[in-house]
Amino acid sequence: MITTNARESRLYQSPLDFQDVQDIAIGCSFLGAGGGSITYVTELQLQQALEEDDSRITIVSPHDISDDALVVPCGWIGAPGVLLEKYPDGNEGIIGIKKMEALLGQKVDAVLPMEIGGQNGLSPLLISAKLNLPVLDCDGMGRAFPKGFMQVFNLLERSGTPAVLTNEHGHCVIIDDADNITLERLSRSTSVSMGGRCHKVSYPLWGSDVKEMVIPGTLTLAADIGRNLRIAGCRGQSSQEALFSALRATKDYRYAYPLFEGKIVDVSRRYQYGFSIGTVKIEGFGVNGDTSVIQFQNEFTAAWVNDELRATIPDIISIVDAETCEAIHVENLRYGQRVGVIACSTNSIFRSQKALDLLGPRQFGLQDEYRPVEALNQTTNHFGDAE
Amino acid sequence: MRIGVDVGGTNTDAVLLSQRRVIFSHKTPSTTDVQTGVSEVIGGLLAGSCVDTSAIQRITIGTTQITNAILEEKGLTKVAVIRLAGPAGRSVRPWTGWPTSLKRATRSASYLLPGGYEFDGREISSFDEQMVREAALELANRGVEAIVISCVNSQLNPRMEDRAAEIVQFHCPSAHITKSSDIGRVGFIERENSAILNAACTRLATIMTDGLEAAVRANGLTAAVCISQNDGTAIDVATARRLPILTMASGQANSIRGAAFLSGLKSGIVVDIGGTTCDVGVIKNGLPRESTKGVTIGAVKTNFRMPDVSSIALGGGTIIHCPNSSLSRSESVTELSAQIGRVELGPQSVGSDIKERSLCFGGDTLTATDIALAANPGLAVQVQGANLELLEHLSGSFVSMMSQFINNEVSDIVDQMKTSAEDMTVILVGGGQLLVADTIEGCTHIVRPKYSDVANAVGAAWSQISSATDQIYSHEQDDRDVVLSDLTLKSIDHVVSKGGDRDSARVVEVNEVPLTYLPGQKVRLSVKVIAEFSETT
Repeated sequence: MITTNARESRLYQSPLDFQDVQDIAIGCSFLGAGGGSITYVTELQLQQALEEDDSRITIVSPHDISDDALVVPCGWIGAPGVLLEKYPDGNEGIIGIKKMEALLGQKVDAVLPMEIGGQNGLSPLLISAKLNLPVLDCDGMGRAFPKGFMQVFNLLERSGTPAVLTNEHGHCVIIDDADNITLERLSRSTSVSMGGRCHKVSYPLWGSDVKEMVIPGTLTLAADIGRNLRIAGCRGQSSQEALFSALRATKDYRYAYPLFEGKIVDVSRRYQYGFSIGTVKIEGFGVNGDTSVIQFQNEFTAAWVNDELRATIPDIISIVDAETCEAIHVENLRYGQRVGVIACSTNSIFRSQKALDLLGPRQFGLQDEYRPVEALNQTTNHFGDAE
Repeated sequence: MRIGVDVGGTNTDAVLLSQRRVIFSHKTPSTTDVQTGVSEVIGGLLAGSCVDTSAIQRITIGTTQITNAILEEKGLTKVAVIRLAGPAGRSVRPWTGWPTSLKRATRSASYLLPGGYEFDGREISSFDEQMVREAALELANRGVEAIVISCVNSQLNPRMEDRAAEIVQFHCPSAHITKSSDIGRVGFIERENSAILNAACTRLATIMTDGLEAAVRANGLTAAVCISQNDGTAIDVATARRLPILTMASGQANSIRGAAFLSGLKSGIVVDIGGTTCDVGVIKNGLPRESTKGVTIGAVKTNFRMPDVSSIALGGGTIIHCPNSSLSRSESVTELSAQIGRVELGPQSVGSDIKERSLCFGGDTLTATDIALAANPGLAVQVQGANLELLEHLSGSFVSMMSQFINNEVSDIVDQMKTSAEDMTVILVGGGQLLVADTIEGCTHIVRPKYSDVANAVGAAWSQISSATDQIYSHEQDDRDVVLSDLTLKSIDHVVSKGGDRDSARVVEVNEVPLTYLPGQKVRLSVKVIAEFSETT
């Protein structure tokens, strides 16, 4: 299952500084495919932890954890908009870990992001800072998906329970003996009564599991994306080249394509079933009337250029600032923004028939069968080929 | 008649507007104390135009003093924050993410107290009167002058902020209190940051408004004084004292509005070229198009609405760096084509030293103005003291290539600001406008209105007035259309009572926030109207 090298990384050499955190945040936003909550508040939490509270954040390779170690995926669930006003207390994850330890009668040895996309790629770092636990360089989705069971642990039939949900008051809800779909439903309703969002610790795993059933190296990839973009920005180099060079260095994400560039001319959005659903229309900068339409349901689910389908979920579609190539969150898309549309491949486990039945294009109202992004863009010059 | 004043970095400009026409303008150098410069420019304007002071109905002043105070961290007051958020947000204390020096200049103390609302209106935790009182007493003992009260979801429900402000004001009667709900809009940390910046400027705001009023009164004027804010409207002095942060970036809004006024156009692209920068904004339906991105002030994230302006470092004083000195004399197109890519345009500018340093004034630095004059000698009459002979050594090929280069830079940024590929009119304003030739790619025509060198002051003089009112109504019991028209009428009455002209009043924003925590599907409806100042008041 391991397709990306998570054996060596700059991140394993020394504890993270705030620059690393900011780099990872930029990468997580891209991998969020338009979704995953905004990273800004978590960046501030981590800045406070690092600069004012003198905490340490360490990242380790999933290969370097012992087989009998207890590791837990962590992250937030609920409505992303709530985070605009109500911020975490900072102890939600810690209480969740403590409760999980009590339930399993064993100390937790490491944490990992349940999804790398958006805020959830960053939030386990805060647990690391506060509990001095390492964060594993891997995650359960390799991107962001709208539902908790749309990840590799569920696809490989691991049980999500026991699961611990917590909020800023220290209230704690434990869900046990439920299948993974039911767990998702119960978690959603709990998040609503907890004030719109709650922290979730679920799918407890062994060290031996993470060597086989995670998307490896994704924190390093996020850091590389952010670092490349930052350096390109300072040197006045092409940010798009910088982004593609980070993706090209991996196996999972190497088929990467600049699908379109232009100005957003329309964003239509409605809130339904707890999701933000809609479409974005982009007009090319040229005068020949090229247009692109991107559909979203929390994350971007499909992209068309001049009515031709060019990418669908589970491949990653991101709308980025035309100049800096930094990803723009679905909720921040506005008329008049100058943007690029970028699509790239994703881990092969999400392209299996079993996965597609759970999270493929048909699950998001599309008529089309899934076709990999590299097949939909065969004629375009892309950056996936080895030189 | 009205007077508009623009306090710029180099000059303070004033214009006199009568019957929707500019009848006189005057320029004086800006002074460090601002007040002297404003007094002088108004004095000069009145003397030059020979109008009777009693004929002046209104004076609107656009000033960058608040912006500069924050950017230069000068004259700021230390602020205490009382945050009502229950346990939420403890991991992001006030001032997190601020630049160290600005934090040092503004931070006094912070109190993280219980309170705040969930998205559905439930309380995160109950308001604790006793704890607010204790905090207030401590602040009173320490003599803190500026206090911010911020509460989670106060844009939905300001009740806790209002109550806390009452308690604090009682114990700290001389302190200035900024409630985050006064600044409005969803986005907690951005709203709190804005409130802190506002509070930090309040002492300065008093000094500033007193000074501006004194400058006006010293000239024997008794008319109302208004201050420009960032959406092209003006606020009275009392509001500017309470919410000085609203005056940020008013210069850009004024230049866009001034360009619209002078050209008579309701929509178009405004290119404002000064000595150092070229700012491009868009006018739509007579108002500046607003930016959709969050606005950063002094590296602090805020949630203001500001005009959508793109800037490049290109102005009349922009320095042109050649890879070798002989290049500018070369007539060889081959050599020039090979080398032109190595010529750098700015970003440095000779700024206000242009008359000493630019070639055409006898200096030793090649600037964008030199290229413009060499390319179009007919413009020299507009540039006092310029000597074309000093530019004769520049080769014709070099000049035409550079002038094309400069024009392309402007064309590119204009194109980026367009929302569609259709042709648009460009309105050129500012002292550096001679840099741009008579064609910009993708724009049907270019207008250079008269008085465009004082467009900011014109924008200030022509500023409008706005008013917003809100009301909670029930989807189940009330007819939305009736509520909306009642509320619109109320806003119009309000704007008229503040000096607006009834006939010109129009709705610019309707906002509905569902208050899901109240029974009966309650919705808060708010209506913002904008009107011209009435000529007869």
